Amino acid sequence: MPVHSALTTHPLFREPRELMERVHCPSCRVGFAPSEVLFVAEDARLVGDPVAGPTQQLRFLPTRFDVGGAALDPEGARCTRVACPRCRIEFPRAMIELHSAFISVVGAPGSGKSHLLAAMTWGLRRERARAGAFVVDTDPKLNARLHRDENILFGAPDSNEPVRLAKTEIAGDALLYRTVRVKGKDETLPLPLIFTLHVGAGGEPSEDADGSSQRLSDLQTIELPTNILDIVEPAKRGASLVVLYDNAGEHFLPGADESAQPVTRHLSQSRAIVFVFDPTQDARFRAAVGMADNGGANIRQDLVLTETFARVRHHRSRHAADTLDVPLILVLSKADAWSAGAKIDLIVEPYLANGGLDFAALKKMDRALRPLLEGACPEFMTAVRAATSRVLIVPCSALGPCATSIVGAGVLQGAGVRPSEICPQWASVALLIALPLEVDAIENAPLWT
Amino acid sequence: MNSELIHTSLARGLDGGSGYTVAGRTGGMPRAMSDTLSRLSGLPNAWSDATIEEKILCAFREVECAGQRLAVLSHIAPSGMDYTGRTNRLSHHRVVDTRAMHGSDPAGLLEDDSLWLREWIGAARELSGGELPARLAREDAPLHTWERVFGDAGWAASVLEVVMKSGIGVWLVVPARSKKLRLCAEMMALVPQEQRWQITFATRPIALGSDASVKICFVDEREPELAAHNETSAWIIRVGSGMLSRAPEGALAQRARLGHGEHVDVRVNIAAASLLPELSLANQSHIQKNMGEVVDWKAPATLKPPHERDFHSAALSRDDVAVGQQEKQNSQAAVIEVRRLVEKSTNSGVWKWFAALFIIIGALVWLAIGNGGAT
Repeated sequence: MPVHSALTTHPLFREPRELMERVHCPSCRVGFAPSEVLFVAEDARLVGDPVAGPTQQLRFLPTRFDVGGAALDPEGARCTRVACPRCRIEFPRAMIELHSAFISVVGAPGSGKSHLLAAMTWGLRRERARAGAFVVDTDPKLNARLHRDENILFGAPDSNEPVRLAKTEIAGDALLYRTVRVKGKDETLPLPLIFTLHVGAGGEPSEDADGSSQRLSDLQTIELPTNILDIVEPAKRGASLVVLYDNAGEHFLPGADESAQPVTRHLSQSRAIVFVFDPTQDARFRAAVGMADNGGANIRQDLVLTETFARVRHHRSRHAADTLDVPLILVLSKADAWSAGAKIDLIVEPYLANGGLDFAALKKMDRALRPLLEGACPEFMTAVRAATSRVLIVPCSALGPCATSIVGAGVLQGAGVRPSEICPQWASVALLIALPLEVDAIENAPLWT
Repeated sequence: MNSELIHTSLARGLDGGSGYTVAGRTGGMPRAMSDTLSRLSGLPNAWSDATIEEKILCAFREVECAGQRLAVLSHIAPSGMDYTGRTNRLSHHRVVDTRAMHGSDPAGLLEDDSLWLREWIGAARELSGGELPARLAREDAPLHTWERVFGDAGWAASVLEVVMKSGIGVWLVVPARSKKLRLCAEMMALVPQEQRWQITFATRPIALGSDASVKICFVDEREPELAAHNETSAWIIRVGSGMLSRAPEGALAQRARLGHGEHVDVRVNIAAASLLPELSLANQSHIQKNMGEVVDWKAPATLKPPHERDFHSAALSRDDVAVGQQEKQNSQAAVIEVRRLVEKSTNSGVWKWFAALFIIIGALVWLAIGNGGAT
């Protein structure tokens, strides 16, 4: 195409593309301008990069572009994939075009983070009308690990063959971590899960009887404080990015924040923290809800929470006396096992009839669970109060039915669930609350305690 | 003293944490070494129907820790369920000192199951440590596993040459259900015992380019990580294609096939090798250009004398071999040669030409008879 013709007809020149002023790498957290983004070479001969590794395609700062705006690598191949200028790990190009909200999922080992993530994203992929929003993979290749988990749990809904998710590895899983060589030193960095969030996909707005409930789709029209909502404008237009992290619980234990393996540094920029508290790992909670204590584990989850917020404070360079206002969504996991004893009803989920979150129901559940935690785990609630000023407690059962022990092939296979029995309850709620638009909208509602 | 560390999932580890943690380590092990070994403990996800044996990762790696290089042998295997009822794995690492390297080789030590824990019983605790026994990999002559898996034991020599020439390490794709550690041990048997400690390897995929990467990974063709990479990548090699398309030849290949002949100093062999034109021409230049820190593998300047067994086997191949032994070797070689000729003629497709010729002649005869009858 001749240049003069392209200038007048090509959409690239007719409508200048809006880019973010500054982008943060989802892996190493460094900030940079879009003009500093490196491109990933496509030519098969350009293998090997001094930082990304000898088996990765070369990363380069482009100086030549084709008429469509795509970069040309040194061999002339058209390149569209982009990478961070520091760690050179690939990230979706949409990150330089849309706002991103980072959400960290935190919890002790075995608390159910991976199950929760798989169930909540699966729910938000399917329940568009009910939730009033939905997510899609921004780049499916980068979410391969989550797809694997979703396929295991939800891929064969009629199957009676028990399934389970593997324990999250602390290193060595190529779908979770990437080792790069920055300034001659190996660094293991986390690979995030990145989704494009579409808001306002629900039905018509409505209010419930007492008028206290708000719908997610309503939030597009309400006036929001502009000083803190850098995410709202793109979200109002219909799309933004949500970046989630699934770490192994071991990474949040005291002393596990290593410079060679800075896999939890995403806490420094998290818009909200979803803390998965496993009540079944606390003997006093088990006793409080009447669960049989058959030698279950007792893990000090308050230490995990304290360590998490110590890292938040440290990485954000906040004064020790400062009060953090990072929203903390406290998810009490495995609720199918203890909800009866706690006298809470999980069958009715906090959605309005026409779609969207029912804030009144959320508030009611928070009020029901808080005394239970205060009575059974007072030190944990003390840690919560010390951590942040915005807390919301929600229950969740990622699988629904209790895990069943199975014996197969003569060897004890471990706990597993039959896919036909999987029925998540309240699984997507925590993510919906944490989604960019909701977090700040909820701040206006008298929800956070 | 040799140090060891056990890393698995426990409710309470030696350092106080839960989940994947240090279950046991040699008393007095520096914290930096413990952290370094813990970082090597991950087990890559396997394909869905992999057996427990196929999931095991055996590796010999050289890693840097507090300014010194450590030779680490790792045996990482699935280990039932942990305290939360989820799948568990147990990583057993041994740091080998130079004294223990005499009389042993990495594959030989990894093949000895008695040296590696598969299950941890009881609470986390310190271990007493101790000396490693001398273990050398069993030397098959010829390399039966290579011959069975790839049809020609000589490929072990070709792969070894590729490994030595590659600046970044390679992944060798092996057919399903191959015994990868045995393949590795047999390949190692082609080099003198001391040099075996300079060839790092793994029996499951390990990302190349980091401190903990290895010279060669034996990768099952069903590994999910293999699918994530471009099939044409120069560092993924397959027997019979790409840089391994040419039939193996040379003294090393002969030794692999027949099991006699001298151990070949791989440095000399590589200098004479004419393999790898693709890698050296097409890709190596790019790799070298882009990888400022890549350094070609170099053997030590002064080699220690070969092990006594090496002298013995080398001597056997010369003229002073006993008559009975020589006959046995000759008959063995003849059998292998006949088998190879049969396979070669089968694979070459000559029989197809004979079949086509036979059909054509038959058709012509039938036409001639038909025409003759009509006239």
